[in-house]
Amino acid sequence: MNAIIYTNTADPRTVNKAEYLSQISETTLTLYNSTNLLNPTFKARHKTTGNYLYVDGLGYYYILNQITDSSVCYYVCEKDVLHSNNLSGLPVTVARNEFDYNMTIADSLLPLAQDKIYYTRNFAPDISVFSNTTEYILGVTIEEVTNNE
Amino acid sequence: MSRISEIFTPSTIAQTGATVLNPLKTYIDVQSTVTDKLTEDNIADTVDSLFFMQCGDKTPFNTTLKINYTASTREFTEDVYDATTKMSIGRISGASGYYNNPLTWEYNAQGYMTRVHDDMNLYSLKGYKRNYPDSSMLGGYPFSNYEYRTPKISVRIYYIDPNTAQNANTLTQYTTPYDFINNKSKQGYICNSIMLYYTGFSNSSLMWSQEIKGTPDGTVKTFSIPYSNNVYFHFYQDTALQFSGLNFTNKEYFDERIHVGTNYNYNNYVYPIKPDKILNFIASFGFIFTGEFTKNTTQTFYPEVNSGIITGEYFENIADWNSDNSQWENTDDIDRPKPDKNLDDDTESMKIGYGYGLGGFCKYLYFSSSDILELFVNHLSHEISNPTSAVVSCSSYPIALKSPVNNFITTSEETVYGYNVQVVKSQLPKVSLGKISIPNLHGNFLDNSPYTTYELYIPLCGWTTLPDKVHGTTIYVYLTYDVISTSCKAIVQSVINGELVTVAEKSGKLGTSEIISATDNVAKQSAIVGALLNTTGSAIGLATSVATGNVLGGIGSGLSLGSAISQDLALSHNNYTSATGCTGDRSDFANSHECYLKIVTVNDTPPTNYNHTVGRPCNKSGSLSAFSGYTVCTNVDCSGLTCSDTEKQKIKSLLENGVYI
Repeated sequence: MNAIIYTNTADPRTVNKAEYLSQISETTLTLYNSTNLLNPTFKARHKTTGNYLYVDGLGYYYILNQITDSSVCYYVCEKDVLHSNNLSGLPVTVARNEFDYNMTIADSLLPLAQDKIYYTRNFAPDISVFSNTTEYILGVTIEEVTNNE
Repeated sequence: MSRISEIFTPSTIAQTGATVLNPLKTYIDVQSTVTDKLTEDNIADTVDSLFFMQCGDKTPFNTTLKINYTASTREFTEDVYDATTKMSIGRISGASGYYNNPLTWEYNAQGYMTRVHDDMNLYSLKGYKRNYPDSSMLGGYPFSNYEYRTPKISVRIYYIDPNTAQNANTLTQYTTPYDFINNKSKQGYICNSIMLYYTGFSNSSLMWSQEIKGTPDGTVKTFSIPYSNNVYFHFYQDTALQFSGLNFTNKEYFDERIHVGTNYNYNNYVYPIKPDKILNFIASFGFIFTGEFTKNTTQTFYPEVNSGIITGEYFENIADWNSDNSQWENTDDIDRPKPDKNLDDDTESMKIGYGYGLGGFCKYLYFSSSDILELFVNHLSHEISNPTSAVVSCSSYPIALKSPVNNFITTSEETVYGYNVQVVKSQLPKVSLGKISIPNLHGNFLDNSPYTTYELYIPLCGWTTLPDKVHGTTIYVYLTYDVISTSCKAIVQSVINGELVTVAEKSGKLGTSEIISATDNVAKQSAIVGALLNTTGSAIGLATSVATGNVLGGIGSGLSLGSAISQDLALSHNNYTSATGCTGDRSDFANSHECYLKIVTVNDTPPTNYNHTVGRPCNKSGSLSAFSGYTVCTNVDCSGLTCSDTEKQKIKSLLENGVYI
């Protein structure tokens, strides 16, 4: 099968890696024994410095994890399910996002320093209702008033 | 800017449930379990020790303090000894002793410093000196009872070159912590020669002296410090145990040490200090301090007080809120609180008089001073045989009930008991205590609990917690009151979502009841004696029951005890027009007469790439292509994909753990 070998600079978790791929070479690969298509091992003629490849016959992108170099080259690969499948139309509920977010939702992952910050401020009306004097109110019985009057 | 003494008076601290530190003895009482053997002579020592004990693991330094007084042409040195061990921590060489009029401080006088937390000089330093030098410090001459204090302290940090650490003349001054950190700390320094110097008494007027009781020789002396001086704190990394007896192993203040070379066969290490820990350090001494901790930004920091103890934590004031204190407007521009119909209209006063909810036939007389009140009472004693029988209540208020500005009450002059007095006729429904705009400190969920709390101190009412919704709004504080019962209630209102909402209420006492002694009658005394006799008998019965294990008998006695008191006292009240008053919380009068808003919030410290590596909460739905950047999905449904189940599981797992789109 024909394959294109790339250098991939994208984070493995990047869905669309097209802009991160730089083609190195084209080669011919042979599936090695009874490998599976999710984690296949290919026989190759040459070593490569690439870390990513596209297998034309399968139509999938693979992350090239390991090359075993003896008399024959083996490319131990892992299918890039994010880039190989068209996920653009997949309906999702996004819990967290880098650009589109709602700051009123509590963020349990936000690192908070142990130290609290204290703010204080005093305030009063223009003219205080308080004074430095002490005044008194005395309650007296009216009964006695009547008697005296 | 608010002064810390206004914020954390002993009374306001008490309102928070913390321990009041006023007076000093109270502070010690707090630690009663370890201060049983306190004496007048060692009281300051103990306070000092307690202070550090309470700092717990926040205490990086023991009480190894020195004082060094310097003037332009003269200086003298005083050694201050460890308050616990009485061991000298040494003396700075090169500082010559000098004493001259009006200095009364002896050359090589001995003493010690301690931090003081009281109502007069919060967070000040207090010093005791020894009367005469005593090489042993363990006996002989007692400590002087003269103390001096520093009303406030500013902070500067000095650095001493390790090679000349013992020479005070080689001080290099860094005017701000920022300078220190950036010039020395980042470069590192020899760990066992760290010296931080705090100075601030550049203005001698800040110093004051006070004679305290019990001078040893019975003479009255005063002590003053006429010159500017330095007070510095001296601590030794790794070697402090030599002086204090305590092992200074708290490394949280320092980054990992760096080996910087070898001198005289000794390895020298560098301990870069953590910048924020400098503030902790300063705060651990209870200082209010300012500093350019962030370049070009002068900040004021206050020490945190928790349960009456300086914790070593600090907080920063808000430099600029919405408006200046002096510009608060009157609060007549918003609707008034409506707890009852009497408050509907400001212009209508509440009538006070017969049958108006007062439950009695009394007149309430207004006296603007105790002198006038006394004249009336004296007059009353001439008018009737038993003047106190006519007195129902007497209340005092820390406010001008009648003034050109605030007329809490209206009065009219009437003749009562043949005497012209002011009779209370009505009172206003409420007064304003001011308003304040509360900022959105974070502008996100952190402005709400449990991340941020809002507390309000209201004069005469104490602290109350405000709901989260007040952030970003203006709150208005009112005081409703009843001058007859002396009770009051603060009402806090805010306009939230266009509606006026009462967000908090807090009851308090506007005034306090004065003691009124009932002089009348044998009958009342008999009633009281009768109550006491019944009480005693019941108590004896209770004790007997407990001793004999007769639990039921004890309960029965307890019931009779309560019954005896209530019945007898109830009977006694039926026959008297006089009432036995009780003292209220007059100490509340001394509380701050201003409201205080306190906001305690978290310090969120997300890394700069937080959004890109962790993301922010989104909670939106849509196709995956509608989003970009770092994305974490939840409960992904892969049913539309044509790949194998294994791949779907893998895709689902990846999307739920975070991908880049």
